[in-house]
Amino acid sequence: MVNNEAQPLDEAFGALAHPIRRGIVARLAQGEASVAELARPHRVSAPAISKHLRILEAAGLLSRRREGRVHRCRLEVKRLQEAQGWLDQQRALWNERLDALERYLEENP
Amino acid sequence: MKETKPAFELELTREIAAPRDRVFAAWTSAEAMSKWFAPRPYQLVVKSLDFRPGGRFSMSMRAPDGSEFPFTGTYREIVSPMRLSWTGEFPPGPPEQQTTEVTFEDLGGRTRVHVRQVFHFMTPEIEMATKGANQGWNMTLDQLTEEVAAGGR
Repeated sequence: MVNNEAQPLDEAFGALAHPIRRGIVARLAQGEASVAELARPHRVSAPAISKHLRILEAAGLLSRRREGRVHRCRLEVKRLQEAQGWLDQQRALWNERLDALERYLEENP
Repeated sequence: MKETKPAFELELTREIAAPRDRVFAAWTSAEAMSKWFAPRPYQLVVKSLDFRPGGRFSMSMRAPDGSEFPFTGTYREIVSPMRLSWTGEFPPGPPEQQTTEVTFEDLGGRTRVHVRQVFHFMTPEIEMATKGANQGWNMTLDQLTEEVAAGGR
């Protein structure tokens, strides 16, 4: 119910908490992209984009490979699926919680 | 860039056989919440709870093995006994990762509780990517199976 490996997920959620990084992830969901392609829709400096990419990389959401002089970035879907799985667990938690609320109110009239 | 809307919304509705005042009261104090908010076998540990708009809370769910899963938050709206909302986070993550709204509808001796929780770090695109990736992978496996079958002929 509660994920025992919460640490990597905290990092993933932390990484996704920024609108630019969500934009990058959403773009990568459509397929691989170069750093320049990822930077294009965002009005921020190249170092700023690099920083966002590093944060996504550290959170396990992004990986890079070199193609000549160009870095190609891709989405690491596994980590994203873990995050989704955790969110699905939250629904189960709320169901159990409301069961417990019903019991509590029955036992304490 | 354009801020995309969060996608991950969790909604639950439950009819409870108790009057609205009592159902609402179960959400308003550490004493009451510690009896049900963490479902078995977890135990709710309330470190602080300042039940007023803008008031903070700090709690954790303690597992039978002693490990704790802390969460903190801020009460946003309190309209007794009809409505309650808070924003929350799982430390050490960034603040206000999620918003929870709970409404209590009076059904005359019974109460309909509606919970809506929004996680602000997900967007429709990201959610679709997560689910789509699964389909994509299955498709690749299907194609591989077909190819293997065709090659074996």
